[in-house]
Amino acid sequence: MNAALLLADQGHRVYLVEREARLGGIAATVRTTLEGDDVGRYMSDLVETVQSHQKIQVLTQAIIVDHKGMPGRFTTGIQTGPRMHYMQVEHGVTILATGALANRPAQYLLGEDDRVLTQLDMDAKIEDDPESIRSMKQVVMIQCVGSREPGNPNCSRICCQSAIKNALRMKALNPDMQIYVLNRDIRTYGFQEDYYREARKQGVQFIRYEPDRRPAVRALENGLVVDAYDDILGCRLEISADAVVLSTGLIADDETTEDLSMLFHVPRSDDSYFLEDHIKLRPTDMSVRGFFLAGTAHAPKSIRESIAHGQSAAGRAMTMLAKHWINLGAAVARVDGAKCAACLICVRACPYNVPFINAEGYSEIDPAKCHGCGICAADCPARAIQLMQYEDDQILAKLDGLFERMN
Amino acid sequence: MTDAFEPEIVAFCCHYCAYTAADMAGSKRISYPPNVKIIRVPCTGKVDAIHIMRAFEKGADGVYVAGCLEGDCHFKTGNIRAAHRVRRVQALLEEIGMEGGRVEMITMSAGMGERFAQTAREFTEKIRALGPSPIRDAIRQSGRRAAG
Ligand SMILES: Cc1cc2nc3c(=O)[nH]c(=O)nc-3n(C[C@H](O)[C@H](O)[C@H](O)COP(=O)(O)OP(=O)(O)OC[C@H]3O[C@@H](n4cnc5c(N)ncnc54)[C@H](O)[C@@H]3O)c2cc1C
Ligand code: SF4
Ligand code: SF4
Ligand code: SF4
Repeated sequence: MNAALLLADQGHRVYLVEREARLGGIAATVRTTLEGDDVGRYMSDLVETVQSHQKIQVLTQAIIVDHKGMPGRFTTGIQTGPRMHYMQVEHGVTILATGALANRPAQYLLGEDDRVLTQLDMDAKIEDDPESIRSMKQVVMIQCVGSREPGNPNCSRICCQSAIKNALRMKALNPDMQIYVLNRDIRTYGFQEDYYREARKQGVQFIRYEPDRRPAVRALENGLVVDAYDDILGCRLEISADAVVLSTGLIADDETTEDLSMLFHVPRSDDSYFLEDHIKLRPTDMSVRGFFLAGTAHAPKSIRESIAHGQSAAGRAMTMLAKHWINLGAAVARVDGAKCAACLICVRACPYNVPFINAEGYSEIDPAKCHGCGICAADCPARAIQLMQYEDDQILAKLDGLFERMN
Repeated sequence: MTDAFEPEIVAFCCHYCAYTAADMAGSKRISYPPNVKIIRVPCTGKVDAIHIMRAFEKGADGVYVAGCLEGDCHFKTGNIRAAHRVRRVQALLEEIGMEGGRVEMITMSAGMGERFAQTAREFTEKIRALGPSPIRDAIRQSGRRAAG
């Protein structure tokens, strides 16, 4: 939404395709951030501004069904609304901001006992039902639930800060409450460290556990009991708790990224997030020109980081949209008419049906339509086609160079 | 004197998958054998039999073509065409008395840095077991004769 707003403010028409019936994603369910920003207010303002913007067309309950074209001139088919009305949109660039999913693994009695909650549940409970917090004496938080383990090896980045955020808010409501945070290490990077220090100062207990000695949660009639092993003391602990809060994180939306990566031919990472073109040098561009990434579709991020990424995507997209001409690069196939035997092999081989036999009786390739794969060049029996920038003599010269020292 | 055999391997990697996977391996600090020398192509469909044969002619002990997973090719069907072509080259090698296994088609997605490194290791070991290519031996000998 932030990317859409920035582009629309600069005069570009934006289609915002949303799968759900409403905008907002996961952030719409978060109440505050560690830094104390009022996320609810921010989100409702943002949604309002986006929806009423003249240049933004919001399509809800929409799914992408087909896609073709080239950078600067894509055509995408979308089915939208409860009646799945089909429409086609012409667009110059595409920003993928499909987010990730809130992980909710069935661990530590989550879903079985309602005294076991996630940080997101607790976030809402603190605001909606502060009385229940005031009546709690002991609370245990367990970190890295469903993250940093096989199947979802990433650190989710947001759950340590959510834990500290909720611990501080609970302490504010009920200073006598004892809070134990069982963790594998606390990842409150940057200035979040100040809040971690504050939590320790207020008496929140941080206890480390090793993944091969995980805590266990037992439900008793009059409360919960958490069995843990304290690495530093070298002994087992039994902590009774009125509530256990699980720091569950984000998990890639495997189905969405798989569907979209097939449709758009864009790559994904090993753990099913979308993959940027270069981890360090091009963190917002994708390897396919005209595609950009924003937010947690790329990797776990906080709201602030997701917004910054969205702004970056808008900035990168502007560099293409601001131009009247786009240089698509010179890697296109070229036919040497004198060599061509009009055998039609290239015409059949090209995945985009670009080559055709022209009036002069030889194959012709329109450079504006050619995608530059070089398949025709490799298949042409007369060697009449060369792919610019990857000419045969260039590749052969590379091989010669590689083996120079041996020959 | 026989110095330890270090295979020379050429990997034709497509820009969208294998080359990015190699980059990913680098970013993740996963090491793979230095025997593998990468040549980037836009698509494995661009890799011609001539390119593979030239690599052998120049003394490569093994060549592999690394592209996207089946169905994932950025250019739709380039990797399937490449696989066909690799099979043809395998037959060609057998015809001239070399092991067809010296050339192989490998697929991976762009995010698979670990797979890139692993296949590079496996292929290197496979070629190490096959020994130097006869062409490379011949080149060496003719070199020695010329020098001597
Ligand atoms: C448990 C939990 C706690 C968190 N706590 C905090 C916190 O305390 N502080 C903080 O800063 N951050 C927190 N976050 C992180 C925060 O939620 C994210 O940073 C933020 O929501 C990312 O925004 P996004 O727009 O990238 O993705 P999302 O919010 O996931 O939005 C993606 C949108 O894309 C839509 N979509 C998906 N697929 C498609 C498709 N195929 N077609 C069309 N639309 C599609 C979705 O419906 C959704 O509306 C938390 C996250 C979780 C899971
Ligand atoms: S942010 Fe903290 S709780 Fe979440 S996965 Fe990372 S280390 Fe674990
Ligand atoms: S494959 Fe080569 S020879 Fe055949 S039509 Fe195409 S350019 Fe001409
Ligand atoms: S390079 Fe690829 S896209 Fe271009 S004409 Fe040849 S086969 Fe078609």
